[in-house]
Amino acid sequence: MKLSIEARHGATTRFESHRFVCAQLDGQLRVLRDRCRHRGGPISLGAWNLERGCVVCPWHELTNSTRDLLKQELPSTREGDRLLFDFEPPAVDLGVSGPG
Amino acid sequence: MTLPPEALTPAWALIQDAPTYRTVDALVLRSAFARPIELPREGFAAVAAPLSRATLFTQRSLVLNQLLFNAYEQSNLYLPRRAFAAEDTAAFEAYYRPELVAALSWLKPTLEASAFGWLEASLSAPPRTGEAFRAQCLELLDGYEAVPSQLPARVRAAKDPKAAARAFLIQLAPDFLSEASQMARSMPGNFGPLHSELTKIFIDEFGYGVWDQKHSTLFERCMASVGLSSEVNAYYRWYLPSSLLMTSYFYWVTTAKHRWFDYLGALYWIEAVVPHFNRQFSALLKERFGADTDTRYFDEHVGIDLHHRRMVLDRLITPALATYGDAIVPALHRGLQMARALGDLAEHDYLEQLAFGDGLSPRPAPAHPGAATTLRPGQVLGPRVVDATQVLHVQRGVLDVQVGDGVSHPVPQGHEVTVPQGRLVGAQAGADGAVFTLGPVAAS
Ligand code: FES
Ligand SMILES: [Fe+2]
Ligand SMILES: [Fe+2]
Repeated sequence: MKLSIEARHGATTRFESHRFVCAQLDGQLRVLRDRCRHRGGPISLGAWNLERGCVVCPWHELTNSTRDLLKQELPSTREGDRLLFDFEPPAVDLGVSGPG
Repeated sequence: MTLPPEALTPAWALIQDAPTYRTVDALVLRSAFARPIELPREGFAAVAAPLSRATLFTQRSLVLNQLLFNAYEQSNLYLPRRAFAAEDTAAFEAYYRPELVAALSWLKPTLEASAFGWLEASLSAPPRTGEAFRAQCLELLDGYEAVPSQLPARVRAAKDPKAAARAFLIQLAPDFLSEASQMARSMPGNFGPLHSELTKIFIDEFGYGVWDQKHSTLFERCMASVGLSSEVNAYYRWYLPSSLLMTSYFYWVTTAKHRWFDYLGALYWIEAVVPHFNRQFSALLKERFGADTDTRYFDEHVGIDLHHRRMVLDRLITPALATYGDAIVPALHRGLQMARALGDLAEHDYLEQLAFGDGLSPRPAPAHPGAATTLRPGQVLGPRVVDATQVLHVQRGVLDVQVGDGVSHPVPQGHEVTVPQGRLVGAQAGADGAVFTLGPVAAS
């Protein structure tokens, strides 16, 4: 599935139930699943610290570090003012990780 | 201001006629829409006279608490798991019949005042400031977590720890099978940023729209994995008055909107104590029912309620105090103390019931005078609370005396058992029927 997102920190898009966010991270704009490491909260709505490259999720206020966020990255290429990326929706995706 | 008794009479008459509350010949219910209540023939005023600590564990209290619980649950939607059979449709429509819902709603303020008034009146004075209240929250929690709960130890020491653990799950069921239905009631409206903070907790409770994560689903799975029915309120007849009271309290403070700050205080406590207790109870279930037991309900709460208790304190109570000032402290305090007191009462009730079951042993005895009851083969005596210690004597046949689901003792002809004051007891006749008396202990 070819998708694209506006190349701007904080831009979001979705495909079916899957949400994506464009974030300035580790020196460049990247495409991430808009999904907190904890329970899949919407990190696009969280409090970002661009200097430290992290975001506090609005749901339970856990910090997603650069390392956490890079795990959610989908490789992308820039075309004009957009980032293009591939996404294959998993067969079943609960968007939720284990207890904690 | 209270409603005059004569204003309640028509509603009471409607309830007495309603098929939903008619008694049924079963101890475990197969429909969420059957809510048998042993409705006394006397007027509503007698049923709904204010409760007290001394009358909480009585038959009248059971009836009052069943009425109140049903009054709230009529606003919850339940659907059968399979297509409606003809009798389901009739029961479904009868249960949600608007006149019946209205009748119970009309009685509700009186029931609520009777059920909760005495307990509220017994609480300690509130702290003077929000700061002091916050400090008290943390102090009470520290105290609670400093010692292990006595309940798991009592379950382990019971004659049949598995049955005791199941019996405890049954007492949690009125609340947890519909988990966060109370919270759902606290959501409509517009109450500013606090509204959004509460929503964050609510979405966890309802599992993010994922059935397998919904807390009520996790509880159903836990019940099923220890061999219990997970159908909604299958064990309704075994709910103790205090378990119903505790569940209803949360419906009350979320339905009566001016009680919202009470709800915050109560919510704090209920979220706060869960991690400590659930860790112990999860271990107990695994130890008794095996490593494969589905304890996710308890495990999930060990984790998520650490967040919830912080969220309630830091994102709901603290900002509410900042906005509304110390004027809300009495309500916050009342809610917290009510949740504590209700938790203690429910634990006491459960442990007394456990002790009753463990102590149940038929002994030979001569018949007692007084009117005997005859049961057909297999017929049940619906669970009831005995108001004073009684003796159940079997004159003919065998009577399976039950203390809870799966906790029973066959009492043969010419034998009797003692039912201690305040305990819930039911029975089912054996294959040849039974004749028995249930009456006061003879003066010796
Ligand atoms: S989902 Fe992000 S902190 Fe819980
Ligand atoms: Fe929960
Ligand atoms: Fe919770």
